[in-house]
Amino acid sequence: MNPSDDRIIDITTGWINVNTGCNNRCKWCYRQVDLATNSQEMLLHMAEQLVDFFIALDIYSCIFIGGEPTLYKKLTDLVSQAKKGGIKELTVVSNGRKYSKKEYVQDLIAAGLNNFSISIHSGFQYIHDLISRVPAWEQTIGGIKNVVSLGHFCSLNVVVGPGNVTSTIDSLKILLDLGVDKIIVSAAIPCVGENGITGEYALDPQDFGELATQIADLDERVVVLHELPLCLIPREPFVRLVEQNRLGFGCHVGLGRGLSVDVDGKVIPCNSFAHHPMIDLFQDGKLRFSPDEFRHVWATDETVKSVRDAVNVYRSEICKECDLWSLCNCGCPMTWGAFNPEDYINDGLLDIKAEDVYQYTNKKYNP
Amino acid sequence: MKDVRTLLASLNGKKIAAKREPDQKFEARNSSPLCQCQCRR
Repeated sequence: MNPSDDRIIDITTGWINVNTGCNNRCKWCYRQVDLATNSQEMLLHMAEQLVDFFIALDIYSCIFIGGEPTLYKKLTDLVSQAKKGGIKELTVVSNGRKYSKKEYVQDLIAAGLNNFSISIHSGFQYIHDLISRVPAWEQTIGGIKNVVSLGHFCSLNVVVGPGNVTSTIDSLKILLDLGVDKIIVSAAIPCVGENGITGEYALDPQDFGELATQIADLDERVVVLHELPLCLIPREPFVRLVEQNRLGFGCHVGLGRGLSVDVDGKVIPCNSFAHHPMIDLFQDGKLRFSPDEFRHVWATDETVKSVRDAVNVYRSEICKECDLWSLCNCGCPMTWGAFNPEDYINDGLLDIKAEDVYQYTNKKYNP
Repeated sequence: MKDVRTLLASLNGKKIAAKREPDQKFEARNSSPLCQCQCRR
């Protein structure tokens, strides 16, 4: 071991992809490569070992995701295990349909779930069901109402693609009336398809920059998750969103702060890289690494390092001069599988310092 | 099962190696990264 390579990275967030199956068929699902195949489930003994591994790694935030994690029969038990182990923030990312059964919501709350993160495409039924490709809206709305009625933290994810972009502002007003705590709006990013990255259902990045401008005028519960170059947002709304702590940005892959484990127990760069593994965590059904061994592998493994190197790049000459690159990294790398960065990256925010933006983010998370 | 490095090599853009890494000080310990998966994705 070369000590100079042994830079310890603080892994703050872990995702467990408990399954690939889902009862929706959303057009811009980032796991659309799995939609046409038989659904897979993570073996329970592997999921249990993973939760214990996350606890031992002192991960702050554990996120159960899929697929549709509420279809995983032992999800409540896994949440309870993570809670008892001391993980502070527990989230389930769901289409919310199963939350239409109030008892299920109560079971998850009793198990220790902090954050119900519910994906919905629109406040308008016909738009949501058109994008979901199944009649799902009524159950999802019922689920949201149940979580809100139980007084629990409820955050909505609205992913914006070509099919809902023009109605998003009106839709957000309807969703706010449900009484949710937060609505995170992000762009549909290109994703892995059968033949590499596809942008078939992705939103043009420029369209999202324009939408962010309109969102700046809405209720402060609506936040923009900008997984794109920050310079796509015009200056005035950008400053306003920052000052109101309503702007998320960046990619954890280049930092190594996020640990995403696929349904087969293999580590992937992030959830959008389904079936593109970097490290296999298991051998013969048992974890291969102690926490310390894994931290070393995470800092030194050649595949992991090459993935970070491939993400930590300037996609344009302009980025060399931009201090904000250290925050946005030109956004999600998947974007550039379908779009040309030279068509989007611009010099509009070159005089803004990352530190000036960060002071608001820091205040938000460390009040 | 596909090769992640091949996938990343297929991305557009100049891919100029950054002389710095994203600054970890900009990620507070208790800030769960937002993505669509917490989605924050």
